[in-house]
Amino acid sequence: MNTQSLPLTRPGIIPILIIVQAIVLSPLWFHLPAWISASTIALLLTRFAVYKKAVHIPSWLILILAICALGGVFLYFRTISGREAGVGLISLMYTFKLLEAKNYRDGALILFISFFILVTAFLYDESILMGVYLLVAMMSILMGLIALNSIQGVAGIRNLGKISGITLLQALPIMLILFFLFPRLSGPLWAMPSQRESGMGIDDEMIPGSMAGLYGFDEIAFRVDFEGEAPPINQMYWRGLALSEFDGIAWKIGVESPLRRDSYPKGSPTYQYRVQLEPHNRRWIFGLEDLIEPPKEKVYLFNNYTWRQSQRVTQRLLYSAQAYQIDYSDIELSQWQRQLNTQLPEDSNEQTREWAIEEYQKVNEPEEFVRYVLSHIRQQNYHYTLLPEVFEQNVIDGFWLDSREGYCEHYASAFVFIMRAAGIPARVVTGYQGGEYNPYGDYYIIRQKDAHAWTEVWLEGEGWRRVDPTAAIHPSRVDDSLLNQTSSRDDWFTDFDSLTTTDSELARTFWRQISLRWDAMQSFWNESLMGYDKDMQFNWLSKVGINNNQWRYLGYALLATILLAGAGFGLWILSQAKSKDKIERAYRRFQRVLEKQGVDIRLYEGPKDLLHRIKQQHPELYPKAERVIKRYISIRYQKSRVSESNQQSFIKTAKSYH
Amino acid sequence: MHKKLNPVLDQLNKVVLGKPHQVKLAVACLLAKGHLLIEDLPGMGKTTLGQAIARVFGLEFQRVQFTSDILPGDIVGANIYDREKGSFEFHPGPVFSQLVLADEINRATPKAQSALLEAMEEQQVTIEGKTYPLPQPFFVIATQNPSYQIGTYSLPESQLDRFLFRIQLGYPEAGFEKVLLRGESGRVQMNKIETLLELDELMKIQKFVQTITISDHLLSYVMELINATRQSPDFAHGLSPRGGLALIGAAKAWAFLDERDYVLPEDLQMVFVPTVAHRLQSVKTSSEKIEVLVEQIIQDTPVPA
Repeated sequence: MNTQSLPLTRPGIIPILIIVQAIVLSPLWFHLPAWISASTIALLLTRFAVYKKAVHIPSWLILILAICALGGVFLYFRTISGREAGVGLISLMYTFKLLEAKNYRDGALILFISFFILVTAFLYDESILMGVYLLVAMMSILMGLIALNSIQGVAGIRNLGKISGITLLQALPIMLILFFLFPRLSGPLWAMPSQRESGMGIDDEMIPGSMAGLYGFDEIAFRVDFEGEAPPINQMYWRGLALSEFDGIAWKIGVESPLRRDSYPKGSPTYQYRVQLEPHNRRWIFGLEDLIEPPKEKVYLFNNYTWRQSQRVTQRLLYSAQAYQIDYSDIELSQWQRQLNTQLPEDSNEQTREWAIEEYQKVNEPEEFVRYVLSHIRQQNYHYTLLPEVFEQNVIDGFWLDSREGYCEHYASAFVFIMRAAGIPARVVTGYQGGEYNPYGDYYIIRQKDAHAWTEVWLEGEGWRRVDPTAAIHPSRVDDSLLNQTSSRDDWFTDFDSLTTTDSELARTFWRQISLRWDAMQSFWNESLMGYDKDMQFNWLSKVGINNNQWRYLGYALLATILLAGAGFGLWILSQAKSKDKIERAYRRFQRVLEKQGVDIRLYEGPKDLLHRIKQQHPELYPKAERVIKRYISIRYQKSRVSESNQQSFIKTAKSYH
Repeated sequence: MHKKLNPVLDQLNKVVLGKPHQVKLAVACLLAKGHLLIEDLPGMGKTTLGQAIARVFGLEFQRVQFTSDILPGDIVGANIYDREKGSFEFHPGPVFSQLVLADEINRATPKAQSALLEAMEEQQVTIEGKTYPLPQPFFVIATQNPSYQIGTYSLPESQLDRFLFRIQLGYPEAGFEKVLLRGESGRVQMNKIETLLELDELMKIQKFVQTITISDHLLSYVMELINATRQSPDFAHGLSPRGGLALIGAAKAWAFLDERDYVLPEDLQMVFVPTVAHRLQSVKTSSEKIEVLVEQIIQDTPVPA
């Protein structure tokens, strides 16, 4: 039996194709433009209606609609390539294909394209849940393929599931070999710039009040795995940006430039760690201070000791880094750096400026002055709150002298302002502070709500010193950041936490454990499976004694072997099929000629019944057809052994039938 | 050899009116050395068919009416004490004949049923350690009422497959019914039946049927059909290998009746439903008849080209 002649009208074939398409497309519906998602859903429903014989759609209409869809994609995206437009276009054409599918070939094409479209879902979401979903979806495609190739069509979902499950298991060893050994490309396969990517994180300017928006979010900013010892949580300051320019309201980066490698500061290494940075669609990447050696290619160290990547972080970024303690003994603060970090706008926050100058005269020594201002914060009635009073102008005056309540941004902003007013170089640093330890994966989770702003003060002879004025008010905030965060922010975010706060403490701990375990799994997934790249492959292979260069050739050899073996196997199958089915092909050809002559061909009908029907319905064809069918019966059924010459004579008769 | 069977079929069709297909199946069953199960309502001519076959082939005929109180001994026979000789003597039961008509077999208890079915399978009867071979040929025609009738013990599946075919006679067509009612057939015709085939001729034919050619190509069709029953979700389980062998034997007999010495796919299709339907069980609780589902298998399975 030739699969090509299996019709799509067998029971359940069209429904299973519709279901497979729906399963394959459903993850994309959340990412594609609404009109494309709606069109594909509408096309699937239309296909179902056609199947149920509720409507009939002429093929010219399908063609026109498909051309319109192509035009629509081009008008919407102004291109038909790239990730968004490409995925949109292929999804539309995929559903159109099912609408016009008529024979086995169309069905097979749809199912094989399904594998490709399925993978595009990974371009949007690489999570574990998506991985599991894609596995299930892959099984559904396999089930479709098995049903398409079986005579009964969809005969028992359980049976199909069993066969496809076995097939997947059989493919598992090949999958593992290819996953671990197949040469990895240095970049992602789809190096497409994303067009409308949104990310959450710290911005390149700081207006007191801007970061409060992050505090509500449990979203993970990055994960950190320390090799060896980790610093205490309250000493984990994850440096992101240094903000030196102040315009009275907002702190900005100001002038900064990448450092040449030979002008990197010297320092002694402290902690070694690995980071999984979630995409935040910005260029800066975070590290445990102090930062010197950039962790990756195309990441640069800037002269304010922050790291910047040449491209936005739109995909999860994995890197290992080294923390240092910078040795400032040889480093002088350049004239323009001094100027940049003492600059203040004219005519703003006059009162605080006066206060600073006045107080500085009392101590007249920078280090002493830092200590003095910190103890001022500690002793005076300064509050930490996420809902401070809002001032339109002279924000720092209002906070420092009047309301005395705010959070890290207010304190950092005011502190740097006071230092600068007293002539001491200072700047604001933003990033994250602390993190949550996950005992199940032995790593730290840093969330958006850990966003923090602190300051650095230049002290002659010592260099930049980190000063966290927020820590001065509320020692517990830093000492036990986790407890403090939940307690101090709970009342502000009652809506977010209502689920957990109403439950008992036990349930809460339990929930916490589950979510930590889940995060540990995600971390493993990101790091070891999704993040398995060229470097990891080389590391792994060098452990078994294969070095980089050898591997390249070995990889090519592997690839060539697989291709050759595949091609050889294919040719072998082809030749087998050809030699075996000479008689079948001749008979099928004969049947096709009969069909053209108006004889209805039924696949379940034997040759004798066919001949009988020809005699009844098309007596004019009978004499010639009889000759073919008689010979066919004689070689297929009459004798158990048939000579080659008999076969040849049948083939000749059948082929000459017209 | 084929020719001799045409008058036989003609004779039978004179007695059993309007059922040439069922008559042909019954004869094919005899030629394939199988046993026949006729399932129908009382009064459809089951017994008539059995008697007619016995007469036309000249077979020794016994009819056993199965009732709810029949015992195994009533069927296979028993050792009975002979006072004059002072010893036990074997009195063979009705099963010791060449054609046994077991009427309403599902009225009897399973114990009595299995006595007959064992004899059918082993072609011999063992009583108190002594084995008595059954006469040859040995052909059982059993009739049963549809199992939904009151007072029936339906045959277990393991015993159903001792029968090669299960057929239904069904109501006669209007034209034949009229003839029947006029009383021109039945018993009257029965007495006119002559023996047309000698016993050794029948046995020769039975032997010959087994030598009919089955090509490899046809076997692959048989395998497709068997696989179709195994993969179909309609049935609780597929056809057993014994069922497959029965199918081939039956198809050979049918090919013989069609005056051929090789089997065609059409032969298989003709005997497929009567051979297979009673060996399968529908998983559906709906009243759809199993015969319809089995027929569907043929429709769905392409003949290899």
